[in-house]
Amino acid sequence: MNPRVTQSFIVNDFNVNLKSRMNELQKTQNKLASGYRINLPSDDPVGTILYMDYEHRLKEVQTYQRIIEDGKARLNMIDSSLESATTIIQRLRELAIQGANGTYTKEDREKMAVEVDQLLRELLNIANMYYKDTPLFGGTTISDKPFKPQFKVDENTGIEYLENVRYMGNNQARILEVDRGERVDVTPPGNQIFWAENMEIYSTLNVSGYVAQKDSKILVDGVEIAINAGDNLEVIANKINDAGLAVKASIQTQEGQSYFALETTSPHQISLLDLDGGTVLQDLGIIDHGMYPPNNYSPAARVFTGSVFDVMINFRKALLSDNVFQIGGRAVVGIDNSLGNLLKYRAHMGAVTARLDNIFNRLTSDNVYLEDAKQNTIGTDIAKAMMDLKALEFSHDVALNVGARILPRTLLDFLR
Amino acid sequence: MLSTFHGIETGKKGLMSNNMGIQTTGHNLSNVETEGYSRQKVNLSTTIPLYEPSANRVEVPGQIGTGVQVEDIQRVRDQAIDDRINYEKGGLGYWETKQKFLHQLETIFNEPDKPNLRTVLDDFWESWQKLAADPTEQASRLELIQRAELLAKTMNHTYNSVYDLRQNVNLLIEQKIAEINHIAREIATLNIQIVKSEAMGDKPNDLYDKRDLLADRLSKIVDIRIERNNKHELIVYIGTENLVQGGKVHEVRGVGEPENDGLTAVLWDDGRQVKLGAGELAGLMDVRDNDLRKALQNLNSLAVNITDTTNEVHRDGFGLNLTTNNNFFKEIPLSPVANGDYDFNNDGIFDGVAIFRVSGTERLDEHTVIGSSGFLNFGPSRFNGQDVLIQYQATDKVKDVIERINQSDAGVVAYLNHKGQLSLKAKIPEDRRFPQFVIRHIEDSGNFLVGVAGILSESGANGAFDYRTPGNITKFNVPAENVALTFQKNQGAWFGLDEKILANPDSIAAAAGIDTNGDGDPDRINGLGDNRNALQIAELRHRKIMIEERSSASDFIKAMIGDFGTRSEAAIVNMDKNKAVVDSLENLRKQISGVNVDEELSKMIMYQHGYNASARLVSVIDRMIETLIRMGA
Repeated sequence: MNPRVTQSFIVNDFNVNLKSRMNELQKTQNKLASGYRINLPSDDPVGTILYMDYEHRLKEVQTYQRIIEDGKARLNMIDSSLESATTIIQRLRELAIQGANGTYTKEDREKMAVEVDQLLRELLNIANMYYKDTPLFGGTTISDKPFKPQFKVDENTGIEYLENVRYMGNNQARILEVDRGERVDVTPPGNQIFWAENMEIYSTLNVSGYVAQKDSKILVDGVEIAINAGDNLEVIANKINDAGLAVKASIQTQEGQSYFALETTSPHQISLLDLDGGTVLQDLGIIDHGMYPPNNYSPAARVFTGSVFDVMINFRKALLSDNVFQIGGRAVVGIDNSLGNLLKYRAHMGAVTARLDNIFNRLTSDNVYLEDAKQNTIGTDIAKAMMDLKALEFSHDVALNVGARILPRTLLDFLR
Repeated sequence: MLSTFHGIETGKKGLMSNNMGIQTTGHNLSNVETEGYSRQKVNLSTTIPLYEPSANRVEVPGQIGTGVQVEDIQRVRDQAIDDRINYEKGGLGYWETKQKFLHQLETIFNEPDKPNLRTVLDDFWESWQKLAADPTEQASRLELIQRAELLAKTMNHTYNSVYDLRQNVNLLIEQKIAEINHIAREIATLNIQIVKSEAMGDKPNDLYDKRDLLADRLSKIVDIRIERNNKHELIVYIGTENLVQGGKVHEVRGVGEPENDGLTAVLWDDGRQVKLGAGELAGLMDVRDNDLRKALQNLNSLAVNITDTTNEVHRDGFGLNLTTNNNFFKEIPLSPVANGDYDFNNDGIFDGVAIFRVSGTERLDEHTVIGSSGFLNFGPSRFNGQDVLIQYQATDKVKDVIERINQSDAGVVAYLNHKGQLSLKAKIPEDRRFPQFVIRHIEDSGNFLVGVAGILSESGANGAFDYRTPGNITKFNVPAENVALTFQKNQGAWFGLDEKILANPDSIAAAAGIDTNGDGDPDRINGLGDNRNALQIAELRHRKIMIEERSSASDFIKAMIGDFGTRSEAAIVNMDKNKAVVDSLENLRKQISGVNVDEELSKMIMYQHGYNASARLVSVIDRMIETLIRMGA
């Protein structure tokens, strides 16, 4: 059946078509003007989610890149300071070998002692270096210089020498997150880098037959070790030895009396603390009551710290006391150990830098890929949009033209 | 024998009928553009011819015609199309409304390429990363505060915009209810007038048109069905109930519903719910009670979980000013007292306790084997429903039970927090009669929640926690800081930074610490330059802190936006589809009922000629009679 066409039907039809055409035109125009294919999530929900994913990861990548750049600046700073430290220690080694040579006189050694002291002060300056207003080698402390010197005037020569250096920082490394879940230490604390020899703590308290009174924990180098009520000395020592730390616990027995002892297996300062209100380490005469690491060792314990400064100060003392054997023996060995430890950390820092470079490069290529994917997801395909626009324009013109011809015509136009 | 004036009479009838035709054509032409107008048609018929068969009829050949008469004036309309339009218009109204408001919702969220909640949240986490890289730098602290503030403001603004939109929709619902009643009353009035006219034997075409137009308008608001079977009583149904029955109107009314935030429910006069299937009103109700309500709930959930998880970690850390146990985000408890007691039914007496989260005292690993069996009871998930029970065996691992809790209908979700403690967190209940973010019931017949996790102090019903008993916080065997009280409602609206953080950026806890006294709360800082706590908070970015949905906060927003987008897209597609159907049906109606000017003009010419011819007939007869009279003169 032929439909009965009415004027209002034609007008309505024309309007509906015109409106939808205008709608299309507006959409295409919007795509072109904004440069985006998706202006609202409903334009393409899946594309929107993809876009959000890309953008999310992109932002993350860029943040990690900034953090890595900052970390690398810090590592460069550390490396150059450790390089100076290496030079100084090498010079100290030369002096030690000279000093151990019997041809030098006591006066020569006194002059060497002055040079050693000056070199030591320079080394101290390096160990106390700052980066961005925080000490480089103080672990996570910020307030004071991590290595605190004490000076003393030598009675014989009347010269002020560096007498003692105490580490005031903590044993926490600085950590950076450089990619999702990837953390790197960027600054090992000073009580690891500037350490030459293994630390030893010998309690002088007789603790034979000691049994832990209650469940508690002890903290050794940042690792919690649970002590249960009834644990005896052997059990406690074994728990420390089994914790996978560079710390060895032992029980020294003399004349039926037992003493507890701790020593490190790699040069560093041990950090010790009783937790959970326990008093195990205090009971064993290792740490002092109410004190916190570092330097909270019991006054009754015999402690050999073994820092680079201890080694050098002993060397300087040996020079002053003209003790050739000690210079050629302990001093040289100590200096070699210092150098070895320092080089170990320089190698470690180098490896970290290389790892950061690797991650950075990976992130850079991620960045390029993500930026590309993001644009492809949301960006307008200009060529296609232009073609669409042209086609729409043409059919729009045609529709208007036809409308203008047909709409006003009625029989009336032909009636007189 | 024919009367002398027979022809005049025939001519007169022709004049009158053609005149009527001309008038109707004129009426049609005048109403070319009138909305809802159906063209009218004059039905002509011949008058009774002469003579009827009878014994005393005049003996002439017959029958002889006596002219024309107007049978009736009929409007041309197909009521079946009307019914279909009414049906389709309900769908159109529904989808148009949904599309309109989903579009607005999309605009509020400002996705994808403008500053919005998702991007400021990303910036917020990024600031924690930067702080972790530079924990002592003032600039990174200030930037963190600024970005956290921007996050809070964006959250508040988004929440308030959606909230306002929902209130607007509610206002519109009330307007639509008024409109329904108004139209219903008009239809009833027309029904009375129409029945009266019909009783007089008339066809009140224009009144029919008016009534159909009203029905048209009504059908877009609400899904109606019209029954025209009874000649004397037109009935308009919504669902199976009648809104208009002849001259009677059963009005609908809007009543505030306390269980739905005091928003308007549509009820019949006797208090029964009006069942809405389609139409603008159904669309508005759906947008208000599903789309917008869900959006608000999502924002609240987001605000609550970001606040709670950030604070949980933040409280363990230390600021540059050595303070600890500070909140980063503001927490405003629902309960006015410290033990969480709350007056749920608003009668002035505490009748329950509002607790949002509880964490155990024991540090667990997800692979820890429980070692004893029993079942957990989390109370019913529907009001007066069955208790949700979760069984565990001695060989189950912690993660198995967590998984089981999270997959059940229990009113809580479980997870291991950053310290490895088992945490139970309340979620938004499916049943609106339960309070939101309130732990309702925790009971363990065995030892899992008691000895293993260290949440409850006692097994069995005696040691059970229930939210309907004030002071029940004591059932938890945990220190006060392991319990988080439920926050005040509309968390998205007041989400913001804690005053201590705003007052002093040094209170931001970037450094972690050591727990020396074993109470589960770190009391000694690792070092002012430590960044471990900041790293832990930055890590929340990837943690599935939206536990119910097993997603991170960003993924949660992403899913929410994707959901709006999909629904908005579906609304557009459905709207276009419905519009096309309605358009084509309306075109069909216009084909049948619309006025064609050419047609009317040609008819007008015919009627004009008919009129002229009838007039000529009269004048011919006149002359014939004159001839006769002159003959007699």
